[in-house]
This record gives sequence, structure tokens and C-alpha cells, in this order.
Amino acid sequence: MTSDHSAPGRRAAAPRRFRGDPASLAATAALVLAVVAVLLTGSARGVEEERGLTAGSLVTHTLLACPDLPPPRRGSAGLEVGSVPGVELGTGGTLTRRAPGKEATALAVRRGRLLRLDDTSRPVVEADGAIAAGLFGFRTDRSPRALAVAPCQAPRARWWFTGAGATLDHSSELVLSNVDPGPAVVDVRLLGPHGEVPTVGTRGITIAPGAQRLIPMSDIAPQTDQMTIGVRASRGRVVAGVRDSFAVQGAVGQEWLPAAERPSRSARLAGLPAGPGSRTLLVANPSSLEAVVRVQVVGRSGPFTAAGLDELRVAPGTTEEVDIGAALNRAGPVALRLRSQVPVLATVRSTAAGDTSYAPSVVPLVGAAAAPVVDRFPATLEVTAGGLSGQVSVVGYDAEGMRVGGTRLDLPPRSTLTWRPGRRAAFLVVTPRRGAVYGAVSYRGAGLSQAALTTLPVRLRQPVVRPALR
Amino acid sequence: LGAVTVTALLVSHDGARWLPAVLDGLARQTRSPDCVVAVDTGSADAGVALLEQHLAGTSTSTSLVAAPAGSSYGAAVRAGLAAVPASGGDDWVWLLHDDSAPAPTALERLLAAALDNPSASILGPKLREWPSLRRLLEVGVTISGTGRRETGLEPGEYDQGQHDRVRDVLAVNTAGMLVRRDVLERLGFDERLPVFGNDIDLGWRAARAGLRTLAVPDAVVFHVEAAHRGVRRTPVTGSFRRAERRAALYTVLVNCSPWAFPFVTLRLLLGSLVRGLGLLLVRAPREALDELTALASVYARPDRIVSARLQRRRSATVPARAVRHLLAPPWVPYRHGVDFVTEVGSAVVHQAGDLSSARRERGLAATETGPVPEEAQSLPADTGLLARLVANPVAAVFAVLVVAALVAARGLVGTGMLSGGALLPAPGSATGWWAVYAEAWHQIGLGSAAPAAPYLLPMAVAGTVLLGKAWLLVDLLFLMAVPVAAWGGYRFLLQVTGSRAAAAWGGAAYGLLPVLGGAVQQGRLGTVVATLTLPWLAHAALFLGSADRDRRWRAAWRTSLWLALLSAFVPLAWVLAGLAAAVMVGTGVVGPRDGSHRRQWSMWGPVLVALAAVPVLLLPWSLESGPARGAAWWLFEAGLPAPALVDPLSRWDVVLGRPGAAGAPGWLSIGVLVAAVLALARPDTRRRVLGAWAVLVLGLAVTAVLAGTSFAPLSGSPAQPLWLGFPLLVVQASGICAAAIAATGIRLRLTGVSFGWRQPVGVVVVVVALLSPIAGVVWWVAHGSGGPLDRAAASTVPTYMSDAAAADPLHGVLVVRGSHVGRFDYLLLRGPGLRLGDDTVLPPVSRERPLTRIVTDLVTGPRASDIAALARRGVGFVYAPPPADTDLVANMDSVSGVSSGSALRPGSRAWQLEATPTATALHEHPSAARPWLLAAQALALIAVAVLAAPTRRRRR
Repeated sequence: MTSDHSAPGRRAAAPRRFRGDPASLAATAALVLAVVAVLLTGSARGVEEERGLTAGSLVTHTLLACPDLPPPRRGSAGLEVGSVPGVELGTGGTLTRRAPGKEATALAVRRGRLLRLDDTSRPVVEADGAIAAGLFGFRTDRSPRALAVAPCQAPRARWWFTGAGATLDHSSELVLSNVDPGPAVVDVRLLGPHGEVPTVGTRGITIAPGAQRLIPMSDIAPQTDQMTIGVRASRGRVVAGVRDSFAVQGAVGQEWLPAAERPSRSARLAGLPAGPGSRTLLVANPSSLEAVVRVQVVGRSGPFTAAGLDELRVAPGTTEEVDIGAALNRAGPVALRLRSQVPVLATVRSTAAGDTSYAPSVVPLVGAAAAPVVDRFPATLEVTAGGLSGQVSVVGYDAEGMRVGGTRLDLPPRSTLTWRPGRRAAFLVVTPRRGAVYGAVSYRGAGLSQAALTTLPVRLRQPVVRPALR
Repeated sequence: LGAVTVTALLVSHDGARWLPAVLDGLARQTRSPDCVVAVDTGSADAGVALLEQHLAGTSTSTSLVAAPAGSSYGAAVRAGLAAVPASGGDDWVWLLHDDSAPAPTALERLLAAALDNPSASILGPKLREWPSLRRLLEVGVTISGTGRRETGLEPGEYDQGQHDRVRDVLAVNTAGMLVRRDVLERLGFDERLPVFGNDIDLGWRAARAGLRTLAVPDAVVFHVEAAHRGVRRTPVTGSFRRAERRAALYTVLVNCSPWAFPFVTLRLLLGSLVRGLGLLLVRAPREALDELTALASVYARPDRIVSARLQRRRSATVPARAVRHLLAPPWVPYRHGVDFVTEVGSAVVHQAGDLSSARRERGLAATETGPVPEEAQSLPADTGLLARLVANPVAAVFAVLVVAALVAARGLVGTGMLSGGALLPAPGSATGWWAVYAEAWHQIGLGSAAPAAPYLLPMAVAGTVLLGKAWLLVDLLFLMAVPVAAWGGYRFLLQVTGSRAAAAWGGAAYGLLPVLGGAVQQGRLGTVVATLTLPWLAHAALFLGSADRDRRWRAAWRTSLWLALLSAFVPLAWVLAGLAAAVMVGTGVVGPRDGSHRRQWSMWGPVLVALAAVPVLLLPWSLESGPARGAAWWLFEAGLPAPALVDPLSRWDVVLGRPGAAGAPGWLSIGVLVAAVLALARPDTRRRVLGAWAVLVLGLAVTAVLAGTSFAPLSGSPAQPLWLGFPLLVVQASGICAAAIAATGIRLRLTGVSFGWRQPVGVVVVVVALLSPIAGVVWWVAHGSGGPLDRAAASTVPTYMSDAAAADPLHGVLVVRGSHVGRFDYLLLRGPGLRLGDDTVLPPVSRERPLTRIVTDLVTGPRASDIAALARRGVGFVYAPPPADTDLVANMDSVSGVSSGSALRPGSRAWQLEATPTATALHEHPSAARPWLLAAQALALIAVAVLAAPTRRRRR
């Protein structure tokens, strides 16, 4: 242990030690090996999280519920039900319709055909089997001077409607239907121009299975205009619709307010009818922070900022309205893009020819979308591309499912293009081919209306599900 | 006395050692026998010559009979009697052994007693030990129900006249027995009892024949008990223990009363088996073998027992109950049992005391002769606790660590269970661990036959010791990890370095590893327990290189026990130990200096055995878990994998021992790193430092290999990076060990040479190294218990659900968490929630596939059939903890067959299935081999524990 104490001196000892001593060689080797091991230490990638949705098998069950109110006075209402054509989607399966909570009756419909039903009393459409993939339905309300087109939608827990009112010239009624076998409990809140509208009896509304509840806005928020209705089911699901009557130049325009599922920081409004008329942008801010909204107009030749629309401030819990008619009258077909730091809801109310229409908030298509073509109300498809150029294929079909025209639209980045189907077309199918494309179909005749292009459920988009470790 | 004829009959076999004294005693009798007959049974020594010489020189009538070699005692006596015709008067025979020397008055006193008690047929003297001559051996003898020879004396009792009373006894020893010749001829000795036990048998039969046997303490015979003590071994006796036991069993079986016979048969059988097991447990395998072979040899021949019993029935004249008072009381065997246990206990305590005193002496010697005078604090042994704390730096270090542990645990006290990170809450009691460990089929998910992890066994045992309080065990492990680990490290380093100061520094630095590395904060049970176990494993393994063969083998078994305990928590330890052993053997650190095969085996054998025993000790798991859990099963340590807490390892993380998040800043460990590297520079300790470095390099290599790859903890689950707490612990521990070895006597070393660059560098390194654990303690106390480990309510599902599931496992709770944006995870609980250890028996992903499909439907678009399928799989409730996915909530609300249940936590939702859950779609496939494997494990544990225990030397 102490053998080295008598080492005569460093000069003599040091070289000898490092020349041949096996222990010091081993020490050096150990050090080198340790350094090499540290240098070679790799680092495994973190756990590969499977997340998001995966495209799964074809949808085999679809439940749609159309807005359920009697037709307007001096008017008629009908349902149009179809499934997008496509051999690969398969045929067969059953399709039924029923009133909520009542017995169902079978409907004879083949893939690709459009079924027109004159009676709206049994608004729940349920498909099982192959026919369920790509099923769509619309309700059309016509009166001599008005048109309203509303999509039939699957029940869900959250609904937002912007543009409701309860004044002498403007009235809205909310209809809530529970088409499920369990009860639903619903909260309704209203955002008015001056903040959240205090209401009575709109929290914890229980809707029994198969039941329906009609809530006129004049009952819960009389003399309030420019309202946004938020519906949230704390239990169960509902189908909600808002029928809106708006007095325009002595006539009463009819429309179903387009529904949004949730507020968004980036809202896209499509389906603004081109041509003369007034247009009002309505922006609601359901959050508790002020929203500063930048509005961009996406026209045929690219985006621009309209005068007076560069920055819109919306107080928390309010619905703000801005007249944008002057800015857009000569702009041709346009879409609006709204950006905000806090999630907002928006729509554009257009009035012309004694009727109103509300531009729906849409999201880019990820699959085929369908829209009806209504007799005597020429339809215009308006599609807009996102930041990259896009391409969509548009095909018109007659009620028998025969192709009656179509086109392929190449969209430059941030531009809006239109296309009109032929007279024989009964519905349109729009399929995105490239890029992010969104749009709507607007109808203009002796009345105004619009239908958003929404991706139809064709393939089941499944989330990743796996057993947990804790 | 004139009418009485006494024939002294001496049977001799290889007794030349004692014969002169025996014959001398015979010659000096105050009442000489009338005739002396010596019977030699084929002695190979000078015995025959001695007899011839002596008998020729006496005046009385003598004869020497040569019986054939291998004759039994009975046959020899018969041969001797045949040589002397009966006188026809009052004939007595005085039996003597060649190792029993009578006192001069022995025969006189015996005959006097015979005269006083005319009814006595057999009389026996007081036997005293030869050569001590003072200790009592026997004053009459009887037998207990278990066949034990009962003398009624304490072992080694001195003769002070305390038993000097003529009394009736069952039997007397044949050494010095005075027996009526007609009785001896009529009853005779049983030929089946060649040497041992024939005296008791004779006495018992005499008693049944209505004859009296007296112990006459006035007569004294000194007896060597050569055969009984194993001093004399003859072909007739064979193994004396076996022969003795065989005779005892035989004697009891053939003489007991008829009604007691079945009971005695069973009792002796079971008793012998228990004795055999007990002897095995105290590491007396040879005795155990004797016990069992004796049992087998007696019980294998029931015909002999029956014929012997018939024979005795013929000779009996009094009922069995008439001799019962002569037999030992029934409680005697139990008193002996208690005595035995007390004896073993005191022996163990005694041994521990011996060890610690030896250690103290060694420590004292080390401090006196060692190179570090400043730590030679040889305190008087009887100083008080406070004085010790003040005066003893080592005690002060540990006191500081305990106080620091209590302060650092401040955030983790209160109600609830310690959980979080990789740690699941402990079960309600230790029985939960026992149940999970023993079950072959686990009611978890759709049911699982996966083998429970081996660490549940030590947890269950320790939890049971803590009165079943499982939570207390987990609390102690995590909150007291630092001082306990430091103590282990200190003891190991003291053994290695012999320096208290170096060991105390190393112990403190080592004890801090689980908190500095973040293992405690992350709830890494495996690494924490590994920190506590590793020093003791290393301590045991040190003796694998011992020069003493017996010690080496005991070290092997002890090492295998420690390694099995460590591998139960961290299976990777076994692999690492195997690699370390290969390196050691390969580099010649362990191994023979010469090349003989015998020596090779004796050096490597213990190492190999220590490694090979581990899979056997971890049995059901080591065999069954591969198929059940996937190929990478042995890479994951105890606790959840918790991949979110494992960051990709940087090189500094490896060097400074930071396997994951929540650890201390890396610079706190710089001191240890510097000291470990510079430890290589000291030439005189370099050889031993290199040993530590070999392990260090091995730990780094294993880390390097494992850090770059991802592994699936469960077959079918996604791969994830490993928590490398254990290999990095080994690296740090080796570094500390190297530094401690090099630090031994560093002051003397630095002052002993002329001043140069060594002194400043050495001082700087010592200061930096000393500061490292101090800074670590400061950080730990200041930082407290921050990290994922927390004390929280154990149950996450509503109580009414867990209660229903606990009452009936068919009311399972399906917990679905996640969202459409990320992913959904589900868990089917059949109790209050997953508890520590339950995670080890989770069913494989493939088995849960039906449930995965149903849950996928629930989150996308459920139908009534999905709910029915759930009910068929024993699901009673569905619970979505906050934040519950809105789509899932809407789906569940819209499907028929469920009703909404109450969920108190905001944002959570619960549903109850309306249909009564059944088990129609649940199929049990319990592992059939598990009970057998568990039994094998228990046997292996007992065997290894016995082999690892210090040898108990039997005193006779």
C-alpha cells in the first residue's frame, strides 16, 4: 500500500510508471472504454404516440335528423334524401324514416338516386348497411317569395347559431329534438349585442327520448336583436335548428340559420350570394376575452381587405354586427376569412329580392360533399382555395343518379371560383382532389338561400384506442 | 450374601482403550463376582490379548468366549451365559461393557439393594461420565412418546447426590446392570436391537412381565458411551444416529399399548418427517438423512413389528397401563421442542453478537494500524447515544441524513397514498400482494394468466411484517431510501476500504443517488429498492473470493439470495451480474492461480451457482413471463414504465447519473465524477480501483446498448425508451466505490511525499468530492419532494362503482380516457383501481382485442349490441374521468342500454349498464403450472436460505 512512499523522485519514477506498468495501462484502457461507451450512447426516440384519426372501414350506420317544424304559411316543405354515387361504396342496406320516438317506415332508395319527399313530419332518417356511407339529406322550404334550405344533421351535443333575433321585424325560433333512446339535458345561452342575454328557464332543459321542444326567442329574450344561440347538451344529444324570419322591404324572408359546432379562431364563411342586396356580417364572441377580428375577403382574383373591415372588435359575450354590403356589392362571388385570437362565430346575412340568406361557416373538405339543386332557384357553386392552389371535381346528377354535367375546377391560391349546374341536375357532388378547398352552394331566384358543403360520412374515422397501463 | 452367585459378564469389541481401567475396576470390587466371563465379538485391536492376560491373572473362575464378529449384544450375552452353567441358586448376572468401569463398591451396593428389595429383578447403577467422572449420565432411563431416551437429567448435570434415591424405573443401562439370570434367560435381548435401545426394551418387557427394575444410585459405574458418542463404530452399529433412532422407533412401536398403536404409528411417522425437515433447516442434512432412513427402515418391515408385538403379548402378564407411570410424561417432547427453539434462537443471537464483536475488534485493529489516524475514534463501548452522535462523525452523518429525509418528506405527508409517476398506490393491505402473487388467474380486464412480478413476494413478506400495512412499506422505501441506502453503502465500503471516513463519505454519496437521479421523485420503485439492495449484494459477493471453501459456498448462496431479491425488482440486474461475473472470470480477478480443474470449479463454481440459482428463486415468473409479456420483459423494472418521464439520455446525463426528469442538477455530481476518474491515478490502490472501474465500464456499456433502442413493455404495446436508472446507479456506485478506495489514507499519502503538484491536486479533488454529497443534501432538503411522486387519493373512479366492483368482480368498471384528438386509453377494473403490482399482471394486448373493438365503437358510434357485449364481459359501469371527451359522452348518452350515473368530479361522466352483467363471454385459462412452480420456488428459497446460513455445529 505504501510501497511508493520511498520513490526517489518524480523524474525517475514517472517515465517508468507509464512505460510498462500493466496496472496503469489497464487504468488508461478503462478510462478510454468508459469514454467510448459514453460517446456511443444513443438516445431512443420518445414513445411513438399513436394519435389522431385513422381512416377505417366504410360507414355502415348513419342517423340524420332534419329540422322539424311545419312548413311556412303559404308555402311548402319537402325532404331530399340521397347517397353519393359510387360503385366502390357498395349497394344494399336499409333506409328508414320516422318521427322521433315513433315506428320507422322503410324508404326505397338506391345508391346515387335522390328521393324527394313532400312530407316533413317524419324527419329522422336512419340508414344501415352500405347505403349509410355518403348519406345526405336536406330540407327545403318554399314560399312564393322565399326559399330556405337546411341540411339534415346527426344529433350532437353542441350547436351554435348566429343571427337570431326577437323583434318585430326579426323573429327566430329554436327547435330541439331528441331522437335518441335516452333523455337529453340541454342548456341554452344567448349572446346579444350588449353581452350575454339573461334568460329564465333555459338551463337544464330536459328533453325526453323522442320529444321535441320549440323555444321562440321572443319568449326568452324579447326585443333583442342580433343574437347568437348556444346549445349545449350536458347529457345526451339533440338535433337543433333555428328558423329565422326577417322582414325585408315589406316581405318576410325565411331561412334556417346555419349551425356551427364550436367557435373557431379561423372562420371561413362561404355561400354569399353575388349581386345586389344588403349584407351584414355578424360576429359573436362567446369567450370572456375581447376578440379582435381581422376580416379578409377572398374574391375571384385573390384576397383583399375591404374598407372598414380591417379590424373588428367584439366584446366578450356579445354579438357584433357590421354592414358590409357596400364593400362587397361589386366584388362578385366571394368568401370571407375571419381570424381572431379568441374563438368566434360568424355569419353574413344577405338580403335581396325580399328574402334572406345566412352564409354558413365552413371547413375545408376532406371528402365528397353534396348539395341539392332546387327547381326555379338557380344554384351557384362557390368554392375557395386555401393558401395553396386547389382542385375540385364537381358532378351534377339527376334524381335517378345519372350524370348530367360536371367539371373540374382548378383554384389558384386564395381565390374563389363559381360554377353553375345544368337545369337537369337534381344534386351536386363536390370532391376535393388537391389542396384545401371549402365552399357552399347559394340559391338565388324568387328567394335566397345557401347550403354549406360538408364532408359526408363515408369512411369511419376511428381514433386510436388501446388498453391503458394504469 | 453367601447364597447369591454373581456372574460378571463383560462384552468387548475394540475396547483396548478402556479395558485396562474396566478390568482394574472389576478386580478391585469389594464384593468380587463369583465368576467372570468375557465375550469378545471379533476385536481387531489388542483387546483380546488384554482380556486373556487379565483373566489369567485372577483367582476367580474366568472364561473368555470368542463370539463371531458382528454378533449383536444379545447374542454375545447369550454366548457368555452358555459358557457358565447356572448354579441353581440365587443366580445374578452383572453385565458390563468394555467402556464401563465400575467403582469398587458398585457390585456390593447393587447386591445390597437386591437384598433389600427382593421383588426387584433388574438393578442398575448410577452412570457417570468417563473421563470427567463427575457428570451424571443416567440414573435409570425411560422413553418418551417420540422415542427419545429420557434420563430426567439436565445435560452435563454434576453428581452432587441429588438423585441418590433407590426408585423404580422403566429400565437401566446394560452397562452395570445386575439382572437375575433366569429373568435374563427368559426375556433375553431382542435380536432386532443389536446395540442400541435393547436396555429399554428389556426393561419395558420386564415391567410388562410384572418384574421390578430399580435404579441404585449408591452403586456407581463410569461409562464412556463409546458407541452412542460415535467414538466406536462397528459393522453392527453402522451410523450410530441412524441405529439409535431406528432402535427408538422400533422400541416404541413394539412395546406401546395396542389401543395407542395406530396413533403412535402416525405420530412417529409425522414426527420423524418434521424432525427431518427441522434438521434440514438448521443445516444438518446428514442427521436429517439418518432420521429419514431410520424411519424408512422401520416402517418398511411392518411384519417385524407385528411379530415382535405378538411375542411381547405372550410374555406380558400385567396390562399396559400398569407400566404407564414408568414412561416419560406426554408433555416432555413438547418441552424439548421449546428448548430446542430457544437454543437455536440464542445461538443465532449469540452468533450475531460474536460477529459484531469480531467486527468491532477488526475495526479497532484497522483504526489502530490503519493509515488514517484522524479517524481513529476508538470510543468506549458504553457511551450514550447523544455522546456518540456528538463524538462519532459517522453517527453524525447518518443522523443528518435521517433528519434530512424527514425534512425532505415534508410535501409528502398527509392522507392518501404515495403514488404518481411510475408508482401505483399500495393495496389496502399486504394480503393484496399475497393474493396477486399466489393467484393463477387474475380478475383484471378480460382476465389474465400473466405471472405476477417476483417483487411482489418480498413486498408481501415485508408488508406482512409491518402488520399488513402495505402503504407503510412503500412510504418507508421511498421516504427513508437515502439513510437506509447510505447505511448499506457505508457497511460495504467499510468492508472494502477499512476506513470509516472513506466509507462514511461514500455511503452518504451513494445514499443520495436515488434522490439526485430522480428515482424517488419519479416513483421508480425498482431503482429505489435496487439502491437499497445493491450494497448488500456486493457485500455478499466479496466473499466469493474467500480462501475458505465453506465460506465461499455460503457466500455463493447468500449472493444468490441478494441477487434474486434485486433481480425481482430489476431483472436487468441479473444480466448485468452475469456480465460482471464473465468479466471478472475472464480477466482473472476471480479464478484459480493454478490450472487444476478441481480448483477451477471450486473458484468458479460458487459464482456460477450464485447466478444460476436466481432464475430458480424467481421461479414462476422466470419461466412464465416471457410468453406472457413479450421478449423485452426482463428489461423493465418494478413499477410502471412511465415513458413520459424518460427523456432521451444526453452524454452528460450518462456521466452524471441522471436517467430522467425530476433529478437534481447535474453539476451536483461533478465531485464524484472527478474523484472516480482521478482515483485511477493513485498507483498503490489502482488494482482494486480497477475492479470498481470494470463494473463501471460494464454499466456504461449496458447503458450505451440499451439507451438507443425502444422496447415494448407488453407484447403488442408501442415501443418506448427504457428507464435506465439501474445501470446508471451501478455506474455511479462503482465510481463512488473507486473514489472511496483511492481516498483511503489519502492524507497520510499526501503528507508522506515531498511537496509537488500532487498535493494541491489531491487537496482540490478531496475538497470537491467532499462538497458533492454536502451540496446534494442541501439541494435535497431545499428542493423537498418535488416531482410526479405525490400523496393522493388512491381511487380515481367513483366510490359506489369501486365498491360494487369489489363486491362482485362482474360489475367491472370500464374507464375510458382520452379524446378524439389524441387517443383513447381504456382500463377494465374489477376493484378499486390498479394497485402496485396489478400492473404486472395486466393481460396482453392481444387478449384485450375484443374489448378494444367495443371501446372503439363506443367512441365512434355505439349500438345497443356494443352495450350488450360489454355486459356479457362483466362490465357494470363505464366511467370517463375528466376531461370526458364530448363525442364519447354524446355517444354514450345516445345509446340504449345505459343510464347515466353520478360522477362527482367536474368534467367526468359515468354510466351504468341497465342489463345485469354476466361472465358469458369471459373465459378463464388459469396457469396450471403456477401452484407447482410456486411450491418449487418455496422449496428453493428454503434450501438456499439454509445453505446460506452459517453452519451450525452440533454439539454432543
